[in-house]
Amino acid sequence: MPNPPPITILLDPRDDAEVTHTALRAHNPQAGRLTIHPTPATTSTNALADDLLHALDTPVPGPDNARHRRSTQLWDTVAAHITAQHINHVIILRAHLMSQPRWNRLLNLRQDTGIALTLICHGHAMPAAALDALRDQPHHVTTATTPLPAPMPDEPPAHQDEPTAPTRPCCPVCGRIPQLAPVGRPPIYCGPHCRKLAHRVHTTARRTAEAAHLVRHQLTQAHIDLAQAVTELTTATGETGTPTALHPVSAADAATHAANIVRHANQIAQLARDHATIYTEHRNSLTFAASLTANRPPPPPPSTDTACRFTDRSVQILIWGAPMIAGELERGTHFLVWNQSVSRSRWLAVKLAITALASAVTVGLFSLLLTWWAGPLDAIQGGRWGTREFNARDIAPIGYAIFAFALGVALGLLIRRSVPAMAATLAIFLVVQVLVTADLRPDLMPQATTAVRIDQATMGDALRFDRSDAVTGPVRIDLPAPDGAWLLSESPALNSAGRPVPTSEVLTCWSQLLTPGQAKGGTAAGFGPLGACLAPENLHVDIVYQPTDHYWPLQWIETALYCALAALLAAFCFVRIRRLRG
Amino acid sequence: MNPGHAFPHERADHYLGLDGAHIVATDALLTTRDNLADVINAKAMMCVHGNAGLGKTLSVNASLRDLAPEATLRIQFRARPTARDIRHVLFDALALGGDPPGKPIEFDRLLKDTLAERFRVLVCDESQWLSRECFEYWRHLWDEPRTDIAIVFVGGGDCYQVLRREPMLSSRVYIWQEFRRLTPAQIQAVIPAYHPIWEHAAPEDIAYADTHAGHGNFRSWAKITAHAATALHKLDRTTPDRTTLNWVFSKLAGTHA
Repeated sequence: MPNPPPITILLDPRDDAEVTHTALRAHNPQAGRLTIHPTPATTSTNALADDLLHALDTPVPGPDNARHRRSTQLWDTVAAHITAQHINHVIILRAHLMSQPRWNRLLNLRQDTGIALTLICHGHAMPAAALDALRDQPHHVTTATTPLPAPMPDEPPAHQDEPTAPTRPCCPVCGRIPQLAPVGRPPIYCGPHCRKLAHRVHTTARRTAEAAHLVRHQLTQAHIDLAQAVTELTTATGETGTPTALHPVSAADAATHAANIVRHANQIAQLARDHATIYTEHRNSLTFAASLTANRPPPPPPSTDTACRFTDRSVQILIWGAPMIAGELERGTHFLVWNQSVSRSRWLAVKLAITALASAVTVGLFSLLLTWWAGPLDAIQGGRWGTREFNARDIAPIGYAIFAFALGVALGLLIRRSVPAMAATLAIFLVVQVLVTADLRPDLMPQATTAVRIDQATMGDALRFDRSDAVTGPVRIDLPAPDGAWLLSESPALNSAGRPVPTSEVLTCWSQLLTPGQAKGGTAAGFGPLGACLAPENLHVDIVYQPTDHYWPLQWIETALYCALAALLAAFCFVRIRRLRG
Repeated sequence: MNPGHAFPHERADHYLGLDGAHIVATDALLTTRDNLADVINAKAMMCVHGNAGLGKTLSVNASLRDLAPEATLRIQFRARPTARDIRHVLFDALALGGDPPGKPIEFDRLLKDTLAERFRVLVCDESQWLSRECFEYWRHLWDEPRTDIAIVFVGGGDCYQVLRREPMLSSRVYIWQEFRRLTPAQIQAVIPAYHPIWEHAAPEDIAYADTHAGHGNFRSWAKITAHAATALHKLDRTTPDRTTLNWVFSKLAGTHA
């Protein structure tokens, strides 16, 4: 954690223009020092963050950029830039006008970045907000006198080193600090690790700039050395006629120069390599940072909740039927209807037909919408055979709707009370649906059976391998269903005679390959090696399933089944209504 | 420059646009001119205060029309302006095109950039209406190292108290100038030059008019002069006498003198 120095409060009792002007002159981001002259007539913390960003010469997120205008993100951005630009001293003018939230934000910023804070209160005493905010903070108060004690020093005060923020190195040859070309604002407003990331980007960018500077410098130096050596060589040659008869001193000099050139060349080569590495790192950081904003993580799978909501809607529609007749009987309005020229049967037929049609269409539409919307999710999650999926997709829900509606009407006629009829409808409907789904559906179409041989390929796909605790117990292997099929049951591992293999027979292979990763199937190879070991045993697993091409027949059969039930209930209703007494 | 914020026609300086009135070189006007020259030189702040009708605005306008006609921006606010109003009025006064920026920080940056282009004198009339926040805004602009401005606050009534209450202005205002009403001696010297009808008026009549209606206040004298000029025109005379003056007073007082 950064360990910032105590806060300095400078009181300026006469609000002397010279104090303000001196502080403004001290503004020098290159030297790590900012002076903030806050925008007047506002006390919002966002405006102060804008002032800081402005002083850091960083674009201020506009009002249309709502995500980045959120206070926390804005202050994270400020912290990121302060860290990346190695700002270590921030002077705030007009601090006597600062609101409590502004004080808090500034103190947090100081804690996060380790900056030295100087706050200038243009008044006789510290304002109440300041006293409150600084109660637990180390600080000292001084008063500006006239004339001012000394102008702000041009050199930054003692650098507050923090482990992650190295001081900016200067060129070892010329001692100059290489200027970092503006890299624009980092594409990161990513919450907690924003600062670390911004720092990384900026550091690598700066190191690239420094390396480039050094390379340029070394090259220049090498050129000068080379030119000098050549001149001396030429001079020596000119004097003696042949290069072989060099003056010993000149020869020694030339050798030294040559050695220097070689050294420089080596340095340059090394720097070029470093430069390339740094450049790659920089590019990677930027790409990574960009990916944070560009590639949002995939949204959490929403299927369950939303599907439930859709199903709820279907259930709401399903119990429309109950109050339809029961409500009339409850209120006695059926007397009025029955005394018209329209017969009871016709009245019921019209009601049933129209409402059943409406429920079927509504549920059908919902179902189609859900099927379309959930298509990609189903594809990812592998399968439309699950209870929730099968019951809520395609045409089956239409059958449920018509059945539940007819059930509602029938129960309404029997119970003659809306709410109890609705409750009974719901209960009976759920029971019927559970029974059909669990017991009837797997047998509605002939099931297929296949024997899967245990070898490396099939075991590589296995989801689970479970031996019994007892050596005579069966061995269970969960293999995935054939592509797109509905897995109904799997036998234990069977031998060629069709008898379950006792655990003792696989123990050898099992213990050979028993490593923590493999035991959980956590390695990339899965249970493949185990399968390879078991292959000579000639084992197999019988899988019972509904093939994928049974999906639509099953949907149709189930819909037809429910429709038939609904027709029976409707017939019951016609019989019942004729016998019904007012 | 936006005509609304540049100088109006010279005639409009005068109360009621009085025809035939001259700007008379009162002591206050001459002092204002000297002070403004100093303030422009120092690019500082100045405060001109005094009661209504004593010729503050006229003096400042007349002086600046001579001293810095191109650099002067006259800014006047409705009652109780806010910092936002100042920004928008300045935006208009500086004739900046396009839509005003939405965010205060961008607005301020634009204004500071513009005010840094060349030297300007901002005349802030009726500054007794300004709140502490507004003074803070003016100070912000003035303190900004880039901006190249002098600010003249002109205000009546309790302007002095309002401005003195702001410590930031106490240390920044270079010259405070108070306008007082003209003494009887000054009236005798100034009024004959003010308008042709008084040129040949008897000193006693002028003193009489000052005692009963003028009270050493230019605005009152402008009213007296306007009514007297109308009366004289009807009577086909050139110089007012006691009778004319009494008729004028009856107009001003609403009762017969």
